[in-house]
Amino acid sequence: MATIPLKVSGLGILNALGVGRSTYWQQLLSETTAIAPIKGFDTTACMSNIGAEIHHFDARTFMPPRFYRRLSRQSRLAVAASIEAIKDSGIEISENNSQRIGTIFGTAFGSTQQTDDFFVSLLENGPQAAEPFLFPDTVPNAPASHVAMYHRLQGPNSTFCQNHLSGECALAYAVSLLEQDQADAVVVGGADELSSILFHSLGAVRALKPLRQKGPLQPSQFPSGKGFIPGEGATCMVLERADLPSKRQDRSYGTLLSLHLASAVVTQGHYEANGKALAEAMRAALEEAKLQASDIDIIGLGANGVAELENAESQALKEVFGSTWQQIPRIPPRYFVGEFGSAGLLTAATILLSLHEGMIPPSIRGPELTGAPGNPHRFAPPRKEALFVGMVIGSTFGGGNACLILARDLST
Amino acid sequence: MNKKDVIITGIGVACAIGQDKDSFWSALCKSRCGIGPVDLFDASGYRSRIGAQVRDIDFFTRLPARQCSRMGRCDLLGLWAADEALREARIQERGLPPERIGVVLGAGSGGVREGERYRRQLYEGQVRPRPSLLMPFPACNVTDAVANLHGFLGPRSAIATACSSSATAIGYAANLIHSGRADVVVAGGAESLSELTFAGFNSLRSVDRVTCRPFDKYREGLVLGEGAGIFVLECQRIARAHGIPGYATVLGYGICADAYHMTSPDPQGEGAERSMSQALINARVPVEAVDYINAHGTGSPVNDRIETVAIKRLFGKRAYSIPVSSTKSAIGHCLGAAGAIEAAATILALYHGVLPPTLNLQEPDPSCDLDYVPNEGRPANIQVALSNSFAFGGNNTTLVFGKINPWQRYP
Repeated sequence: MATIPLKVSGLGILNALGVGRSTYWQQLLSETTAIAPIKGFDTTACMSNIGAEIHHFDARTFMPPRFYRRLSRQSRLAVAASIEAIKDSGIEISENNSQRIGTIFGTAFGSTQQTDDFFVSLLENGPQAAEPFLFPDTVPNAPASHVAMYHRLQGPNSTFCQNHLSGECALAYAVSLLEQDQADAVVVGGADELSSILFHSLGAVRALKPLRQKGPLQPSQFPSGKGFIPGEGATCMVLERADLPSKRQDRSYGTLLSLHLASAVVTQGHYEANGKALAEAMRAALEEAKLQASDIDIIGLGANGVAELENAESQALKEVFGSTWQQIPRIPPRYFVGEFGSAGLLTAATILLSLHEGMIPPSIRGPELTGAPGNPHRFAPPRKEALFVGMVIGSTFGGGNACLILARDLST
Repeated sequence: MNKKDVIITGIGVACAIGQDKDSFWSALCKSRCGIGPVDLFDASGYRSRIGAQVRDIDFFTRLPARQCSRMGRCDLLGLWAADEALREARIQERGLPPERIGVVLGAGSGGVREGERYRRQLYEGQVRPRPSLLMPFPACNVTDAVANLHGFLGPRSAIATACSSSATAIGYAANLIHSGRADVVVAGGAESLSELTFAGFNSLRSVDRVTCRPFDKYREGLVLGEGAGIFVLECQRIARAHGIPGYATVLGYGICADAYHMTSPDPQGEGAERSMSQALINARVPVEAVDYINAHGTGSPVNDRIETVAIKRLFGKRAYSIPVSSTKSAIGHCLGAAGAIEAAATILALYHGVLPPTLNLQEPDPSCDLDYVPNEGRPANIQVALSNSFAFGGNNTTLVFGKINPWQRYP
């Protein structure tokens, strides 16, 4: 168990399914998918034409133009999510506490669009005329820095880039900072953008799902096989010590009981094949939380359509949960919003909302996680149910795995 | 667990002045500057054409060619330094459980060098770009490469906060050991020169055209460098049980944000001061105990002045008697690896009792009036030292290292 009690007091969510926490949750409950043919850039030369783009994000509704004018899309999403999360938590940032509130973010690749724009300006204009105002937001830590600047958060500030496990890694460091008394609260977030250059590059290394669609791809038809479907979004949560006195009307979506990271040895660009390290992370997280597998009411999956990953998840679930694993509702948010660096944080937020609202979003049923064309997933419709403990699992290519255990806060 | 329980048992370095720890330290003490013309790419059109490039390194004399065939230059630098650090700490021969060994590395731009070659080919449209050039692009590639090559199964993370990445990685590694989440952590960072970064700092006009000359009156800016600094951090109890004496103790670290501006530091130096003061609080070390500061010292007119202000704010009149030096004057600004290589200089200063110099300091800036150990290193018996890293975006990290007392060594 985390050595001190930790609670999530605020959530901010922006992704292709919804701009804002409530919209996302409602859309998820209505079993809507955001995965559809890409409209933002030309995909005719690519092996795939689908992704999960955010279409209705207007930075003006969140922050003044003078602040966002030179920010990348990724940074704008990050700041917007942080505004929603901080407002939701009710935390008031002042000179008294700003140095004790950290900002820890995760992103897979930073702003690929801004980086590409800068590099193309160099190629087009030559070394003496590359656009200087494009350069600052090419660094992956730009979103966390802008979030800190916007809110005047002067506590610890860092950014994690661990491919599709970046959000979980950011969360793990936030826990570490709180445990070591280096902060009282941390705005933990993740932000990733879907750009033309990223999509093209993922296609070049055959990481995209080779699929061309005319319309939206329903989660039940989500094929397991090669490649994933990229998405974009930002998720932010305010994680704070629950043992410190607070004058404000406290909101708590739940408590973070444990988080464990474990690695597998894999070939570059691949996932763990047998799920051993993921199972190890799950067992360690359960042990740290002083819980049994039978205590878990709901699981947030890392499933993203890559068969290698989904097989590993299935094997790890079987190994840890035994024959009961099929009965536990399993939620795959990436089937609705695509894959991105901080999608694990979104999965954690989804499980927190489930615990808080006592509502199971559309969940996978049946013996196997993997689906395929002609072998569709069976999804159970959303339903009300009292939930107490949730698990979130995640893995990334390269070999990282994570498991976290969240519990409903019974005091609120 | 006592904060003094985390020690450094292995050091690996690769940079412009040395391709291993000993040659790096020897060159540093002999005031050798690794800055010269850059030829990794065509730098002829830039305002500044100099850098601290790692030259004549044959990676595959030490690294397995087959497993490293799709690695980028940043990854290879990291693997090279990790190999040295792990051999020093005798990690493989000690039979430690791999689940208890973590890897936390910083990387500024990761495989941008290879990514930009891909992008240039795509832009020019003359040849079909090689997709394998994209494989090293993720900033975590070096972290994964080190963990996968050596079979470490503990927690792994890659930190990308520009110039403070690898210093924060070392701090996080210490946290992982303090909290019992790992017994051993391989930490540090790697960075390779890339045209994109070179062009970026040139476009901001924050580069020096002559050399890197921190705290000098005529300094113009930073000079980019490349390299890697990798450490083995471990619980002292375990190291002693295996007869590993260690180089220094990781006493603690401070991490904070300026929350002021993306490219300019807080003009009052508050962020830098807080970084140092929080580090000392975290390390439970009084201000009076600090004997040496390895400065961030980029050579940029604003940064050096503000770091000086911050040191004065924290240490008061004592600031004038604390030696402060900038290793960047010898190895350039290695961005994602800077914090780690400079930490190596700090640790070796404690270990050998020698202060590394600030090179190219010919005429001190009147607003930079501390003891910067100009141009020549000197012996000094130091017990506690700080290493500052202040990054783009206002991300500040300060590490605190302490000398391992003789009685604490393996009996």
